Amino acid sequence: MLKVSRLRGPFITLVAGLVAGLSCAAVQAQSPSAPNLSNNCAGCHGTNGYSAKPMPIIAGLSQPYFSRVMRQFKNGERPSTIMGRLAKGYTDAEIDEMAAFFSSQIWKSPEQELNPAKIAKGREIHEEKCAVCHRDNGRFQNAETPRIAGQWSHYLEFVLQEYWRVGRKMPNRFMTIVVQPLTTSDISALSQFYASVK
Amino acid sequence: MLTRRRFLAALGYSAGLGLAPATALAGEVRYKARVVIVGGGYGGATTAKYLRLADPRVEVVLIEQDPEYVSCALSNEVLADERTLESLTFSYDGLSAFYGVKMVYDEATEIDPVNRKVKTAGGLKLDYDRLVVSPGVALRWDAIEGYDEAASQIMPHAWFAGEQTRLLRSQLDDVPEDGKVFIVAPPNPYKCPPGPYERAGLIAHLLWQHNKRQAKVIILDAKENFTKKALFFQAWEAHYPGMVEWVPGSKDGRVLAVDPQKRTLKTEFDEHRGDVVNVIPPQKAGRIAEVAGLTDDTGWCPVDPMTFESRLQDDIHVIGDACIAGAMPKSAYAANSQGKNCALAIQALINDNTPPEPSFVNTCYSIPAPGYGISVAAVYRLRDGEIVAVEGAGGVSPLEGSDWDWEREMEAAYARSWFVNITSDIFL
Repeated sequence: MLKVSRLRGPFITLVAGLVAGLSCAAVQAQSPSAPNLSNNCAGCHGTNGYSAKPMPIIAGLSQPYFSRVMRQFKNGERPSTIMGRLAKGYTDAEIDEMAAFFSSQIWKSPEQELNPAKIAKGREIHEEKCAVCHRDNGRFQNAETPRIAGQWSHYLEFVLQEYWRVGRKMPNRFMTIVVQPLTTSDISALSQFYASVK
Repeated sequence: MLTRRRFLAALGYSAGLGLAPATALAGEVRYKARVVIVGGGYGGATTAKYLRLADPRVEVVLIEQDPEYVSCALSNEVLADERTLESLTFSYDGLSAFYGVKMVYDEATEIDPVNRKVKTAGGLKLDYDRLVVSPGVALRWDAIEGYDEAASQIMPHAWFAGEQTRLLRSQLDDVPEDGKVFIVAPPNPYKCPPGPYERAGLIAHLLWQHNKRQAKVIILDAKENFTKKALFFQAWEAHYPGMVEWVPGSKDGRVLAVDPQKRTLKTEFDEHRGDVVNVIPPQKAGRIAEVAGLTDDTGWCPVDPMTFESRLQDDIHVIGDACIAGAMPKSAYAANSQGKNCALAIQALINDNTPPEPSFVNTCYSIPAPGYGISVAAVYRLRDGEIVAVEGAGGVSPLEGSDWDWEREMEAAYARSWFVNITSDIFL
């Protein structure tokens, strides 16, 4: 029979050590709360991610897409003016917390000043070249496909121009192949079309 | 009763957005606590809104001496005729109507931390359970010989937006073709680190537009370095070649005295005369913070970064420019970020919960020439009880590389969009 007294000392020391180790790890690796992480984004992206133009609306983006794009910004796969510098400030887990926060908002498409002729032209191009992925007139979203219906037209134009520019290393080869043969007028039309979809 | 729909109509969202209704509850309200906030700027107004959003049973009283807020951020654009002061002016009506913030348009003159009361110039005595002090900066009138408040009517600082901005702008009309505009840049720390340098660019823009291309904008700096320095040099050279000069402290840039009547400035070894002299003096925490015993001998307010509680007085939080926030700069975005974290910390403390782990961001956009934007950004967290910038993250806009010049255009658009977004986040 084991003598409890002989075991207790080292056992308690071991447990105490484990607990102390865990506490230390917890104190150093404290992760900010989801609201504290996400509320900072409002400075540029508006309260809860409902932005003023042309900063992109992020309220209502799908959770897997948000997580994926932030990782792309973080590892440099997707170029950016500022998002790369910011995304690097978060762990992947923190990014996922923010993704949960923003994806739990309901997408709202704002009123925009748009040109009907451009919208009509954009719809044609969409149906011919984009609808296969950007289903439901750009409302569809999954890990690879953002919701673009109802996004600010100026922002859509900016991203399309990113894909259009030769030499800018963008993460999605399909997009590059489809967008590069377009004209700037096509890009403007597409942006207006998707912006017009509620 | 105003519904939540109206306030985002300005941004174009026509339907309600389903945020927790935080308007003043009709009829008798039994608040569980009162939080008084002194200062309705980027820090205080943010805290007011986010506290009401977090807990509508907490009464929030905001003491602010001006009936409208004029944003200093982006006010340099007024100097270049790129925007109006009206576009920088915000009402507090949204905070009161949509969020039930109780506005008191008055000046807080005294704080009694023992009995937890705030006194105002108008004679009010407000009890508080918790107090947030967000007074911004005060200018040190004793720092540069000859530069007192009266002097600022001749040599404007324009470091608070409004009348001073108008004064500086109107003085620029009288700069002769080969005139000199001096900007005196302060030592660290001060509100808005890139501000003087963005101002230099935009003043040069105005002079350029008025065909005064032989004129000079000379920055006499107490410092050796400044934020986004290489980017500003690049911008000045690209847009106003030869017009903007920067004199660091080590090259006799530190201004010791000014004579407003003569429009002269004295450095250690030299004397200068300007047609327009913009003095941005050294700074410290806003007066009420000093009066209330919240400042240390640096003139700024030490706080616990977990909650922004003062290290010197109980139940009082200090946020924004006035506080010492580790690695964070004194900026609008920083004040807004701190205000949100502080609001959630206060909500926790009032409800006897542990304050949540904070997270902060700062992004400073500068527009040294119209349509040309640059930025510095950082993410902050606590480490070992201090606010530190996350390593490997943040940084400034690129100086070169593919598309860098195209990105300047986008950054200028984002800078202006940032302004609409943050002020909507605060006031709408």
